[in-house]
Order: sequence, then structure tokens, then C-alpha cells
Amino acid sequence: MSKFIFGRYLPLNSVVHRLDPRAKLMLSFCYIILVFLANNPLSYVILIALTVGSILASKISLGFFLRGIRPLLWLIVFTVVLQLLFSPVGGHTYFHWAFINISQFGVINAGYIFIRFLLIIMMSTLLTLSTQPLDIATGLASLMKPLRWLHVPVDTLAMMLSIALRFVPTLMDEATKIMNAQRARGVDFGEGGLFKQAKALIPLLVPLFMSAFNRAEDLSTAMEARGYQDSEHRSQYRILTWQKRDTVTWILFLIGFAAILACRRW
Amino acid sequence: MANNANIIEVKHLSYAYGDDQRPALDDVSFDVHAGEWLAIVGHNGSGKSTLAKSLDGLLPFTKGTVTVAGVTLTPETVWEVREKIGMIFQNPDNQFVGATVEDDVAFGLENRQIPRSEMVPRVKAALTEVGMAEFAQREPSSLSGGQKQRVALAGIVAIAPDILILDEATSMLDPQGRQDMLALVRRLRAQQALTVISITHDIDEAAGADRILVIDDGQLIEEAQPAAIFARGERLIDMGLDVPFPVKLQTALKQRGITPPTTYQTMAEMEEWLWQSLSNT
Repeated sequence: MSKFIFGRYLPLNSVVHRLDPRAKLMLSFCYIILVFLANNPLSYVILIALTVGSILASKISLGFFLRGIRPLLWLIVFTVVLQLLFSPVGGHTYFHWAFINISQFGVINAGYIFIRFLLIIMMSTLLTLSTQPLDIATGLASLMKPLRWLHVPVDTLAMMLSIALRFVPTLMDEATKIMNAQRARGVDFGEGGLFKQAKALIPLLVPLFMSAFNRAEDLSTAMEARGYQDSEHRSQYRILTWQKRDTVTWILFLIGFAAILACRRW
Repeated sequence: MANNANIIEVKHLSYAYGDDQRPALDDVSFDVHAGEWLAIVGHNGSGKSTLAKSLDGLLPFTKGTVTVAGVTLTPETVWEVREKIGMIFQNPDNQFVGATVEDDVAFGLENRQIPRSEMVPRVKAALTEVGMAEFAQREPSSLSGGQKQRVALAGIVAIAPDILILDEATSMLDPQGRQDMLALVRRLRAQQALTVISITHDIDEAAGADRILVIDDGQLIEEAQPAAIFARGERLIDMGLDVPFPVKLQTALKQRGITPPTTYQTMAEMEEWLWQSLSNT
């Protein structure tokens, strides 16, 4: 079995999981823009309602979302503190010393930044937890299709992305095998100082790269033997079908988005 | 096409890699009859894989002609020739293009621009044919080597070419996977009138062939029926055919003055015996 879950996809059977990846990608994109447009308490309340509603509909437990926040915790704290200390003077000043200035304005701004971070992480975590990486790739490729007019090789990019995703577990397995083989020869991974650790990676990376190049060559031969000439003149086996639930979700979100725009302080 | 007509004709084929002075193939000529099973054997580096790739236009040979089902192989006809040939390579992982089993089987069909409505039943039928229908949604990392090779075979069944080339396709499989794979190829060949060319080290795979070509140093040195070749005994090893690994190991141990059990041992039994004799010393 695959020991590595790319993008931490969590297979559950919920409405959110079954949505068309294109719908989810576009909604997430619009949502992020709206997060930056929201600027008063009411607009944030609506955003939070949309987010909590989506999370509940996905049937994914809140713990997974909190785990998604953890690696970014320091970035959030850092940004919030910066915002808190160095905001322009505005409203009531609580504390002032040299160039440090904690004002009412700064506290409110810091609060907004904190909520923005939280909401964006929640929503993007929801996207990766509820959508298979392959579906995200297919969805992206489908959404990028108009770029063909600008001579962007969309189909080739989609093929590359799909092959890259397909080889992630293969190369992970290979890396584990090489690490074990090198450990058996006395290499210590993850020990000693930074320089020593980096040096220990060389006996891992060199064989891994060698093998990746060999695989690439074998794969391209196999693809040619199977009649692959270019990415444009091919039919598609994997297709996405827009369902009624996708339209319904879009309408619900559009109402939410419109409400945010209406409530926001212009 | 009549049964003994030649489906492939190779005349004076030569090929050299890069600036290598010694040619990988040196003036090789032979015919493949329609519907036959031809085995090509030889040492590593004898040029047998180069030969297989030349037939499919995957390597631009320097001299000679290759004719496949009446089409002479040139840069212009190479895609036409590839339509007629399905190839399975050695490493199961490095020829699995699709993200899932069904995507991989569909890959060849997509390349031929077959409409999706036709692709779906063909993919399903091909997977059923090789006994992998229930794995359609699986990702390659959750399959064994033998299962991946069967998926590769399904990809070829879906396209239904005239010729199947197995380029050491069973060499990375365990004995069971190897036997299953060969049984499957035999069955498909009977059903679909396939011509099979298998490049191999495996003695069982070669024994099942109608005819064997022996290649050494880029040259065709022998062409015979399997029975005539297997009568050579020890000399099989010189030709590049593999004696089963446990037997090789037993011989090598004996040469070093260690006495392994004299009866035939499986890999697991040999391993057990080795561990025991190691812990006794």
C-alpha cells in the first residue's frame, strides 16, 4: 500500500468530496479574493459561516484542520505581532514606546489578519482533504484550457503533472530503500549538525537521481511504443462532468459572496 | 494473411550506439512468421533488446531494412508500424503511465484518438481479459509487479495489435508472476492470432516458443527449434539462458568448498538453509 498520502487526501463519502474539482478550485480561488475584500465584522461573520458550513458538509473532523494550521503557526504569530506593534497610529493608543505603537487600529488589524489566515488555511485544507491530487490536476488542466489560445501547452503540462503525481509514491519507496541500504553501510541520516546532515543526503540523492533519469528514459520509450506523439492530438479517457450539486453549491456560495460585498465597508 | 507468411522481415540490420566502434547489431537478418512464437535469447549486452527496439522504430538503425506487415520502416511510417506492434518492457513501474489502472489501459487508446464512448467498453473488456477488472480504480503503487505487467498487457489487448514483443517482460517478476504472465500471453495468442516475439533469459519462456534465435555480440549465431537448443545442456548458459537461481547458487557454493543440500531447493528453502548454517558457525 502507498505509505505516503500526497496532499493528505482523506477519502470520505460526502457532498464536498463528490463535487466537481473545477467547482471546488474556482470557489476556493474566489473565496480567497473575498477573504481579502472583507473588512468589517459582518462580512467576516458571513465568511466564517461559509467556512464552517463547508467543513460540516465535508464530514471531516476538526482535528485535521487544526493539524493543517500547526506548521504555519509561527508565520501567523509573526505576522499578527508585526501588525500589532507597527500599525499606523489610529484610534486610541494603548501603549507607546520609541517606534513601537499599540493602537486600537493595530489591534483590530491584527485580529483581521489572524482571521484571514485561519480562514484561508481552513478552506485550502478542505480542498486538499476532500479532493484527490489527480482530480485537482485534471481540474486545473480543464480550467487552464482557454490558455491554449495563448499557445500555452496546457495538455503537455497536464500530462507532466499527472506523471509527476503518479511517480511520487514510486520515488518515495525508492528513497526508503536507498536509505535503508545506506544505513546498512553505516550512514547516519538526521544526526549531527546541519552540515553533517546535508552531507549524509548525498549518498541518498545521487542514486535517487540516477534512477529517476533511468526511469524517465524507460518511460519515454514505453510512451512512444504506445503511440504517444504529442499531447494535443489525443482523446480523453478521464473526463469531469458538471453535476447539479455543483451548480447548487455555486449558487449558495454566490449568495454568500454577494452578501459579503454588500456588507463590506466601501 | 496466410499462416506461414512473414509478418516481419529483417534484412542486414546494423546499429551502433553513439560513437561506439563496436556495433550493437551487426548485419542481422531473419523473418518472423505470422502467428508464431519466436524467442530471442542472448547474454546481457548481446544486442537483443536493441533488436527489439529497432523493430518498433524506437532506435534509428544505421543500415538494413525492417518490414512489418508489408510496411517498410522509415521515419515516415514509424507510427503506422507502431500501430501493429505492442511492446512490454522489463520494468513494470517504468511503463505505467496512467495514474490509475484504467487510465493506464486507456493511454494507448487516447493516443489513437479513440472517442471516449468507445474507450470505456474497450478498457473494461481488456481488464477483464487479463483478470484485473476489480483493480480498475487502483493506483500503481498498490499493485505487485506481476499485476502491473498484466495491466501493461491489458493496454495492448485494448489496442489489439498483430504483434506482441515481450522485452524481458517477465525478468523482474517472481516465479509465480512469471508463470501467470506466460499463461496469459499463451491464451491471448490463441484467441487473437497474435505473433509473439519474446526476448528472454528464462528457460521456460524460451521452451514454449516455436523457434529460438540466439544472438551474441550483435550477431545472429543460431536459429533452431527449442528441442534442438535444449539438447545442449550446460552450453545453454553460454547462450545467455538462465539456469534457475537456486541451482546457480548451489553450484557456486560447491565451488567454494561449502556443501549445500544436493536436492533441488526453492529460493525460500535456500534462504532458510543459509541462515541456519550462518548461525551455526
